Amino acid sequence: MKDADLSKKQSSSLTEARINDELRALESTWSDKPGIIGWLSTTDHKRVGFRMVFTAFCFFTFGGILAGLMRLQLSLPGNNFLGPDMYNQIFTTHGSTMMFLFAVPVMEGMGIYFVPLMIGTRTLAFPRLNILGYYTYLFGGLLLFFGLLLNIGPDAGWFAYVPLSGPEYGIGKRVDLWSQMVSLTEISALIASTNIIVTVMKLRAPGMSLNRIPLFVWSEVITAVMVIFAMPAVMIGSSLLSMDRLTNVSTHFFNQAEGGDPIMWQHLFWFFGHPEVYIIFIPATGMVSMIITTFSRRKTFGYTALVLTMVATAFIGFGVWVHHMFVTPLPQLGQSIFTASSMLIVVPNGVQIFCWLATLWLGRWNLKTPLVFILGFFGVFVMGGLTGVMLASLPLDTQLHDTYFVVAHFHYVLIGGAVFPLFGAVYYWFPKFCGRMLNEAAGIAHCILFFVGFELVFFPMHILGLIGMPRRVYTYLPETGWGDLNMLASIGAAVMVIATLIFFINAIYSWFWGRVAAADPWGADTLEWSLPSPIPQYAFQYQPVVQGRHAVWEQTADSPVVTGLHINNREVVATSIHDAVPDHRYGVQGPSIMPFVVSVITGAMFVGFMFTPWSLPLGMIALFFGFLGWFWSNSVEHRPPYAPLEDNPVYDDPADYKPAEAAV
Amino acid sequence: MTRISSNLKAASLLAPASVFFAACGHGNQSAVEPSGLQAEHLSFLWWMFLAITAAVYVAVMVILVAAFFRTRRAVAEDDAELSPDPLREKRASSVVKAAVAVTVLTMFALMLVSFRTGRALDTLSQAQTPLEIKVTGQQWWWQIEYKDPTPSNMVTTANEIHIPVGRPIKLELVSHDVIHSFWAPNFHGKKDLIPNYPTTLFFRADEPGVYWGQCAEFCGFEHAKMRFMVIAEPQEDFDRWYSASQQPAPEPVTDSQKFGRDIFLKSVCTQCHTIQGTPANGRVGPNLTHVAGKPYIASGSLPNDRENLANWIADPQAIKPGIRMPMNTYSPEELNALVDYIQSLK
Amino acid sequence: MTNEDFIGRKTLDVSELPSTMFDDKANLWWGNNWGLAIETTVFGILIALYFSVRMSISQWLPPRTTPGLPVLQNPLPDLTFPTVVLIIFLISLAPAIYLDLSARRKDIFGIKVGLVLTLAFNIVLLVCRYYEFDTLHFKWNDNAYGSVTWTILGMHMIHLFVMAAEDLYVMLWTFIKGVDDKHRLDLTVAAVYWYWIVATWVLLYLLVFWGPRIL
Repeated sequence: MKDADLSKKQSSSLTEARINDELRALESTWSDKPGIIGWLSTTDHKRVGFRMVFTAFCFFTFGGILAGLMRLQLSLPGNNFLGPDMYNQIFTTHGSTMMFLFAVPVMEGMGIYFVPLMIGTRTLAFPRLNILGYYTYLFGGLLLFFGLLLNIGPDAGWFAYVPLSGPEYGIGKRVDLWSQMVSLTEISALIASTNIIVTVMKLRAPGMSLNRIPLFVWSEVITAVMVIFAMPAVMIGSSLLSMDRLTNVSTHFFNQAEGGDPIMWQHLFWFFGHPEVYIIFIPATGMVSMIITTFSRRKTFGYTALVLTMVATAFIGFGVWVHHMFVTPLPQLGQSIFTASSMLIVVPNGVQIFCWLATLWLGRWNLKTPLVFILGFFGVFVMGGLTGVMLASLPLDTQLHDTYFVVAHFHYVLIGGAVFPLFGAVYYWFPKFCGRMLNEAAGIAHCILFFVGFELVFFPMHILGLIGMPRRVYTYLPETGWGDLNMLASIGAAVMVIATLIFFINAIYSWFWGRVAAADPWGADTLEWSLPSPIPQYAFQYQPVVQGRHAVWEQTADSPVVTGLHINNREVVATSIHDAVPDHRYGVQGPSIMPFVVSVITGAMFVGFMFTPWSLPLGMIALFFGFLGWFWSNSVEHRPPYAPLEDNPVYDDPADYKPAEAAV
Repeated sequence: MTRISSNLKAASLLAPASVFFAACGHGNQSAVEPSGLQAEHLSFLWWMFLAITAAVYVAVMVILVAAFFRTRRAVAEDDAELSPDPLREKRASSVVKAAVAVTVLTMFALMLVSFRTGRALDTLSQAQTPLEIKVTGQQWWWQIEYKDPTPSNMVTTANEIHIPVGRPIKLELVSHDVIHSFWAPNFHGKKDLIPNYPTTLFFRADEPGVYWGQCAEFCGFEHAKMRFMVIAEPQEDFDRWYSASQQPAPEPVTDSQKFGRDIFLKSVCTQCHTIQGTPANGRVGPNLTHVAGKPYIASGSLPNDRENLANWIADPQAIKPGIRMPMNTYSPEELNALVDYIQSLK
Repeated sequence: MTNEDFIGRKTLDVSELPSTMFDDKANLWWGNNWGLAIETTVFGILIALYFSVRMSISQWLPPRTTPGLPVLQNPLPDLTFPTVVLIIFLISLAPAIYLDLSARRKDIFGIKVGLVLTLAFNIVLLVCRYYEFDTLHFKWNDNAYGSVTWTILGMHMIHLFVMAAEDLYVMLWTFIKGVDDKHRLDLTVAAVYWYWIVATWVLLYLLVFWGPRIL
């Protein structure tokens, strides 16, 4: 679809008076209700996305404190700061928090905030579903948090292997708490993913054909597709585990005496678990691409390759899960195939690294904090990826599996591969959130200290694993000689804490008193930077007609904008999937309290399911009424003095139907 | 038998690294100080992978640092380059393609080396007459049973595996409760013990010594203290130990020891523990017939001296909370006698 | 961009475009299909689980040793009643297709009739599903086979409940507020959900009721 075709309907009818009138209507149409109801009922994807990111960072802090406690306990051999029960709860909660409550939600939250903006629209496809996803995540997280505080936290590891987590050995409600937290957060992730995929398919601004979609948006879409196929496995697994554990239900999925199989749990968990880490990593690669492009002041090198490698990684990522099970008694020939696939996945990853290096090599660097974090990403992630190659080898893995070597590996890839780009993205996007800049000097200090602290903590762990220290141990004997390296790691943890504190202080200070930012302080290329900082609720005064892959860089005074949407309703233009040719006007509902109500019911239903299976039918009955309220509320009608949708009349007789009809 | 890894280590630039490894820890629970054939193969694989991946890392970092120094700086207001010089782009494209090709070849090579090592590890399983030992993992200790065609000749012990140097060992690994993992890094990689999934592990000790292993799959409260020793000794020493272990417990000599035995036989101890030659034949806990000869108790987590033994018997929950052995209330004289008796069980 | 940037700019006027489109042009249709992709994955995993249980149990089918009931060697699930239910499922496609087409043709009467019929079939099938559990001859807590088959039937039953709820919502709206374009789209999307429910049941029926006989 050529840009020339899009210009068929162009006219120059934007007068100052018209612009001002439309702006006023736009502001009130897209505004939230006031007060606490307004806060609870918002469907503004920016507010919801920010809430997700903020909540995720709260859980990051919580998980970090737990890690600090673990490091305190392990700094000395034979330490009794934490007993085995508390330590086991803490390491389980640390892992579960970081994976389920921080890493995935923060990437989703950034996507929920920025994907609509980057594709030039004002909303996600399903705004009320979006805030439902946030509340479900919040309640799942709070469940885990309070569980630990009340000393009934899960204690079977974040992976909850049976039979340890089963009804015979997993006493009490601890593992059930974990199961329900998993179910709630997985529902949240599935909701967010469906939303993002449909939004990017149908709501891109005109002219943003598939090959013009920004790399961060690609990363979020590809991740969302992964979520859809990976999350069901762990949801099913945790539900089956819950049913095995409930005394009234007492199924036998993992009970060998009745035909069940504990290895099946591992398959179910890792079929989800491995894609999970790519679900965390791929959006981060989108952030890396984004920051490198902006701060190298040039178009991204190898755009098509970068998109295809993300797709390849997502695809192959579903075919490597057995490498987590290399030391189980599965047939060796089958397992060897997974060595091959686990090494194969390095190749697309390598392509990404090379394309990024090429962009950096050929560009001119604006060496600001976001780019400094990307340099840190390279230093840390590449090492993690290479230790991953070691773990991919089945024989070598038999020595390294379940030791501190693996702990080192996954922290290198997760912190290096996700947290460093995430911090970079926070410094990058901070002016969009609040209109002020984070302090540069503090940012560089944060990065350097975080890097140094990280290396002090995790590099020694490679060695610890090789000299015999297994994972998940609450203490170790002095005779092992592991004390020195553990002490070094604990000191490094203190440095990481200091670095993170610098970041938090910087964030809080700058939010209120930081240097005021222009709309586009970095000279960036994606559409969110064409908006004021902070971004008004309606986002785009007029949706743009995109001219190229780097939308803002390729925009000119001649680039048209979209007019003709019904300003009194929350309307955006919907376009075709391939070439983003406008095909209809898509209206969404405004703020609603129903998602909050439904999420409370859902949360109660899952908490109840820890105790009785009747919670499920009772919950479904309550949800019936909740969703009825949701479906029934049509906030467009309920917000006078806004006109109802003029071209969507209600009719009882086909003859009443007006000419501007829906395209069937 | 060739010491492949030591040749490679010496030849490689990683020799300093291996010295560094040796400086951390004592080398008797270490994958990089192999003392047996299987671990030798794996150690070779480790150093090979380390050498190649380290080279890749250095290469990437060199490029990054070079880019840092040779690129010019820019500011946000500078125009972005949307139409860069096509010749430079093409050159960069060729470099990237070459790098991808190198990556693919490297991965392939590593995969082949890995498979070769896997095959090499299998040869020991063809051994004709391995020494067969059954290892049962349970929360949170290891039961070791030496298989013998004559059942009365079988030796049962706990948390300690004596083996003759140079002979192939076949371990049968089973679990009765949750998933455990047997890992003696000086000899081989680990294997998971999954209930109802018996599995085998073949290895061979090539250097005498005392080595450690521990459970490597999270199995509950005291996973951290589920350790075991592997004592590799010359064949004659092993034979001597084996026949001594086949004997029932020595008769108590002193009055205190006799009194101690009486206390033992009247206490709940007999519900869980076996002492051959006495009526005590509990199978729940470790076999105590020759416990006094062992350097560690409590699954390798407590040195076996008088004071530790007394504390352990009186209140094992204080040392290893969560295990199945209960507290025992004895008067000081009773405890003293009991310890005397236990310490006589050589 | 600020107000000044917009003055006199070329515009792309979309006011003539409709506000509802159907099928692959509609966001709701895509949202529904991605949701169905999730649910299909769920059933895919349950099917794989069924086969895994099959391989774990040496004697297939395991003998029924429920206390209070006679021991039954190789208790195959009944075939008659489940096959009748399958036929009812297939017949139920007709009112759903009728509803779908009426919604597209703006046939108000057809929509209302279609809604009532679809809901009626839905309720009948829910009742049938309740009795279908007994045809398995095992309870969910007898063994892993009982657990997985009850879960498969139960998960599908949950979909029947959700579909009934969706039916009720649209029915209430249609009868009380009338039909408009957005809700015509809802009707076509609900019909897709029903087609999916029937299609998955065909596969699951074959697995659960014919699987033990053929495999």
